[in-house]
Amino acid sequence: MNVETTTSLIDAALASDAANALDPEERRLQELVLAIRADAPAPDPDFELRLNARVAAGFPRRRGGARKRIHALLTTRPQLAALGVAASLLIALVVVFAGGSGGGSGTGSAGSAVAGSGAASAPSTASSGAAAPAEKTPAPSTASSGASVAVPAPTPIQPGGFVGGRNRKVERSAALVLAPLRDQLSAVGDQVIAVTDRYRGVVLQSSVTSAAGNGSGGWFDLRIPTANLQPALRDLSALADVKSRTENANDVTAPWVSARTRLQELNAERRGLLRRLEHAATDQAAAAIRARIRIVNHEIDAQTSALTDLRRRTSYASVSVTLEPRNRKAATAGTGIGSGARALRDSLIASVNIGLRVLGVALPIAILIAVLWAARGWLTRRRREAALS
Amino acid sequence: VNDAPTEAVTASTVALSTAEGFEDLYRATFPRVYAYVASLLRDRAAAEDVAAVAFERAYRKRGRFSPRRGSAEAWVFGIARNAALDELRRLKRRATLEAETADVWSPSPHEEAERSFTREEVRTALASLEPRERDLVALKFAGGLTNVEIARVLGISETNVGSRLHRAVEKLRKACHR
Repeated sequence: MNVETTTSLIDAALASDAANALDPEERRLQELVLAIRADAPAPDPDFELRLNARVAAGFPRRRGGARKRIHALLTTRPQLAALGVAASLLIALVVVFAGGSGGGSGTGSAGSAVAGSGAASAPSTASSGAAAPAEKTPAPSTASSGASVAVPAPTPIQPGGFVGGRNRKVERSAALVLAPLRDQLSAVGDQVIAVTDRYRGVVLQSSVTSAAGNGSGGWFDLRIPTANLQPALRDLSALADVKSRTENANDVTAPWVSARTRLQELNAERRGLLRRLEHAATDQAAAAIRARIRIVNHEIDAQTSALTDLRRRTSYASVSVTLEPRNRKAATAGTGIGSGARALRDSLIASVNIGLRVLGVALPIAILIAVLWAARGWLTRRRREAALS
Repeated sequence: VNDAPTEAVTASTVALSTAEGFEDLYRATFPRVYAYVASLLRDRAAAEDVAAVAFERAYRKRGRFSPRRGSAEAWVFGIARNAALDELRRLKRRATLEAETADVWSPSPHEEAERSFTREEVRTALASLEPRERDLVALKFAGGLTNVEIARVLGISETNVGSRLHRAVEKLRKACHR
């Protein structure tokens, strides 16, 4: 008897509840099948009644069922419970760290804004040597307000000196490149002069060229009182888009002190020479003293001139403003369909960025859960089948 | 003990989402599920517990049943088998599986006198089977499942079910001829 014959004989016997095969051996098999089925255990009537009632009632839940299930899980499957706790902790850690890194990146971007604003001034301030730290202080105020929040506030520095060094002499300069609209070039030029006047500054040189083509532009060489430099730069920066902004500081305290000391010495020497001249015994001696006084006078003039120049340079900052006009087409970023499209693109990029971050966290968690789930199913099946071994 | 197959088929096609549909399935399968579980566990009390647990689980999970993954009966027998194997494992761990004495059969004295020879032969033959073979035989003869349904429950192919069943029946025949 082959598999097919056996199967058909069994099915026929079970369906008809009779052994009706003609072949004695086959009939014997069918009788065996029916005997096995007839020998199957029957449920106790009382139990059947109780279960019928429970089914009819929709299997009402017993009190404390959840607690019992947890207790059963802890006692019968402690490994599974431990695995669940470990997985939960791992997921919590991943979420916490992902959230933490997200916050960090936000601070980082704020920090990068500060670095960006400082980048323009960095090369020049570096070359200015010791004055660089003093000059870096005002820079954050020109950056975005968000950036200034992220940077801890440094020790306040008085304009024109280092920390704790009010009498130091610092020569300052700044360079601004503004990009006004091409048709507003003249107006912006007028406003540059107005700002200079407002802060008691001086326009040493200026040139504004308005042309239809690419030849238009302008530049200004200004002198702004050092005390007014920062507010003046702030107002100048507000006149148009700032393409670049550079600030320099140069400490000239040493040459200033040296020149002043030398001038004092020369004045003292001159006074001494004048006294000696009053008491000169001979004409020859008087002539020698006068010659010396003339030399000292020349030196006094030179030192006074140097001091005056230093005083002027430290009292007034040199500010260079360059106007590089731009076309309205490129400038109208805030209106129109193009602007809307750009805003839409930016929003989409931001959304994709957020989506990727979420995916970056959710995907490993989902994979972990799926793997744990599959492993749990596989282990359960193996354990169950082992009961039949 | 066994209900008509047509009744079972009807029950398997009933929508399980309603309480009435589940009751129909329960009525059609309960005696066979009990017979199968008792054959596997060989312990009346344990069989009652497992049958009750199996139907309660099926009731709670009835929303998850999908006809595409097999009949409702195969689904219920799968749940019952899992519960029975869990119980079997627990019983083995407690070392109380002295069920070879098998208290699940309690026929009337009249029936006993009428079919004692055959029953003795059958029990001896069944005892000679491997546990996995006994599981298969119980699904087929006590549970009344088709080979397709058994394949679903055990997670093997229908052909494999036929082959295993053939081998098990051959063993039973040889055991009965001794």
